[in-house]
Amino acid sequence: MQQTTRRSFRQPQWGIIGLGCINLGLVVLLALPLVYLIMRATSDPTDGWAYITQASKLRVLWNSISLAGAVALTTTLIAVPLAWLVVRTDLYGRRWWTILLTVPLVIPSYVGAFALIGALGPKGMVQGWLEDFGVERLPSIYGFGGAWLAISLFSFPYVFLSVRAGLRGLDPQLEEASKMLGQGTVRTFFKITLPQLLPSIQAGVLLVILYTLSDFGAVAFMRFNALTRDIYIQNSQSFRNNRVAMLGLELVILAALLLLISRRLEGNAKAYHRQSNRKNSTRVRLGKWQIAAQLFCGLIVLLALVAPIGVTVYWLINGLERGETFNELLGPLQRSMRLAGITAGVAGLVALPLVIMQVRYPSRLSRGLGFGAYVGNALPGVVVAIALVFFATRYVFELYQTLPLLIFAYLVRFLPEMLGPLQASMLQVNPHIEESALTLGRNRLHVLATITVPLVRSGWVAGVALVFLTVMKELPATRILAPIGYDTLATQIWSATQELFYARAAAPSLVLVIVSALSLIYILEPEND
Amino acid sequence: MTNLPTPALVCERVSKTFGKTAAVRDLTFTLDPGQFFALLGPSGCGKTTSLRLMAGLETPTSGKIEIGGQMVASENTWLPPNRRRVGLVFQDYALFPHLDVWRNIAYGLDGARQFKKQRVEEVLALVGLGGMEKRMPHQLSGGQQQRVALARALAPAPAIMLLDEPFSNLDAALRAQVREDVRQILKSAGISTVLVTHDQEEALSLADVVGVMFDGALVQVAPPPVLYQSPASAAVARFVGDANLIIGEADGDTVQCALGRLPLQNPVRGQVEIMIRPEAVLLESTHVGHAEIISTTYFGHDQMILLCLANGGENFRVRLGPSEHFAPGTHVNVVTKAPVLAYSV
Repeated sequence: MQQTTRRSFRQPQWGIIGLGCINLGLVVLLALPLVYLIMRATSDPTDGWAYITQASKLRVLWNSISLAGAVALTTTLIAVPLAWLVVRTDLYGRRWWTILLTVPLVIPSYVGAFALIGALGPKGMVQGWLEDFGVERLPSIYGFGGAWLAISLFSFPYVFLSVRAGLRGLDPQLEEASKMLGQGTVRTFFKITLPQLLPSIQAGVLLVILYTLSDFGAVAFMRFNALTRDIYIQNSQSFRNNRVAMLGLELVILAALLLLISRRLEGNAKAYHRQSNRKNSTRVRLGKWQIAAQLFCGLIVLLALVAPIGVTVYWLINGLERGETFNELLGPLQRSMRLAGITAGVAGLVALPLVIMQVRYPSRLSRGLGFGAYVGNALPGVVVAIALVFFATRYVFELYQTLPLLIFAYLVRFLPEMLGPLQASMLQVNPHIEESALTLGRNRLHVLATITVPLVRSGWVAGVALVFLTVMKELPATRILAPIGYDTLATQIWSATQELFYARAAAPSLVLVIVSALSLIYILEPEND
Repeated sequence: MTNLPTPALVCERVSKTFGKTAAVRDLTFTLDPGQFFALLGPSGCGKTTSLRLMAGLETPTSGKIEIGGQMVASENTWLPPNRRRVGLVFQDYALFPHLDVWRNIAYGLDGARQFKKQRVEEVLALVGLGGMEKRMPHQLSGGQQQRVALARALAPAPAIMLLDEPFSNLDAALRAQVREDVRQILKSAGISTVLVTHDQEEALSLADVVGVMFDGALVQVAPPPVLYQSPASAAVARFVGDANLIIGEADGDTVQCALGRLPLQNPVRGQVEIMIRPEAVLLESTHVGHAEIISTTYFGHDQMILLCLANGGENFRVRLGPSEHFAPGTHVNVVTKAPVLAYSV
């Protein structure tokens, strides 16, 4: 009796069932590259395992790990003192320094690498100047050193921003208490400040490590055989794609592990965080150290910002003087924008049902789907690309090297960037507002269109913009999946630099730097409140 | 065949469980047309869930709900909130922040623009906000936002009005005024209303009938005077208004307690708890009194006097007019004005 009561009581809620189905289908699609990668990699496990455990492949793994380690160490050593200087001392011009030290984020790693090569590489700026003095060859910029320098210089702002936020959240009373107990500035920093900062340092460093492991541009330009570059090369040379898939899987597992650790640490960081009532603490007076601090900040800004842009501009002028025109820029620019526009539009559409279900109908299923939608975070672009190449060449050859497949790859990779801001906006919409609209006689779709969507507009726009700008910069998937001859800004910089035509890479590089500068507005926005 | 009017709302054994916890248990009551019903209870007692069940924002686990003679939820009926013709005002008002006052109120209206215009004007005049059409919600004060929310809910002429703690976000000075205004507005609109509140003063002063809810179940449904003077249990007495509860031994018509032998309102026997409102007694100054004044707190319109009963040792509160004066340490006799109510323990 009770049973029949329950069953017949609720009419099936078709709306919610439909929403669930749409999202399920979507997440299955998004998971396809990963699933297929695993299937390929494990199709011949003995061969695959033997392949990645041979000395040369272990060497590649070591390359990736050692590069990530070196970058993590370098960025920490640069960023922690910088953050402390701008937040806790009377550093002159600290507001400007904060902005200038964040801006290097806008330089895509391969543009940075191009600038380094353009300056220090063969036929580069410096060599050009030194030839007059009889210097024929500079020590090679290619290899570990170049990759380490390029990635460190353009990723340290992740640590800087994270530590800066951490420092601002610290309770100044703890430091004051330490000083009252007779400890000096230096001892207080190491005994009180640093331990409390650990979570934010870890968070920033994890981001940098993940960035380094999945970065393709810098290591490819610097010809350093890290995992991403090796996957790219093996993909173009090897016919044993289970082996390439195995390499890809190796990278994915590394990335997934890091993401898990960072999620765990985020939880810890919340436990550490103590809201302090007082925001303003007395700043440390630098005194005679003021000049040294200014020089340190200046040096970093010079290396990470002024130099790369300067080099790019130098090559742009150099090219214009030698008769290069902007004509060749137009096609790639259009193609980049078209790809970015379509991807952003599609991402904007599919994100809505996902986020609505996540926020409004929390359940084990919706949490699972939400987790699935973020799969792209653990999939480096080069891995998504090869998985889709394998899949298309085997099952749907018509899709191979077509725009839809490329856009799908972007979607898998970058949908999380859309979901983040949209979800944040949706969480701010009071559910009572939608419920009021329902009781006023409007059905759910009407309420969605007239109330929910207008209210989440800012997050939606931010997400769409972020996806647009990230797609503009994407290199490896574009390189692997784009139709032959379909040059974009990113691939144009790639081919020009490969052929040492630095002048031809300069204009698209500058365009991308400007485009990324716009994206910084959206990346930094959450910090404002 | 009777010619009673169709009730505005009928809840019949409505229950709602979330997982294993029962939020609402066998809620049963009837709301007559034009009546103002207050659902009163401490926070977390299930009163907001009850309101959401009536609005159709939650589906009941069992039971029936009828609005204006139409079955909206039962074993084989389900009407979604948008088809129930209920007006709902939330504690946080939930105005559409991206729409101006006019568009907020017109949101639930269908028909020609001329009709909408007229109706919006009507309800705006009703809530006393004529001329505010172009304001955005964030430009309004809390009280104004609340009236807009009320106007918005009234505009489509709903069968019943549901108010979820609508006054708790207003500051105390404003609250009494707004409360009275809202009652006037709803009365003049002649609309049947269910108010959910944890504020007993609010429930008593606004409602025609008050339902007291503890732990998801209605424990008493009565008009305010009955509820206050004859609470169904010691718990209700304690929750609705201020009450002294002292132990006694009853023998049917009278009860023996720390105040002596008192006449009973209701016949009981054995161990009882006696309920005495602070304003239901007089104090007589005498050297051999059975109580001693501990402290007095003076409010102006009245004063609260804390007593220590000699043999019970319990604290006892008495509310007196502003002109009497008792110094701490004074011995007094406590005299009840009327027969007292007692509950078996």
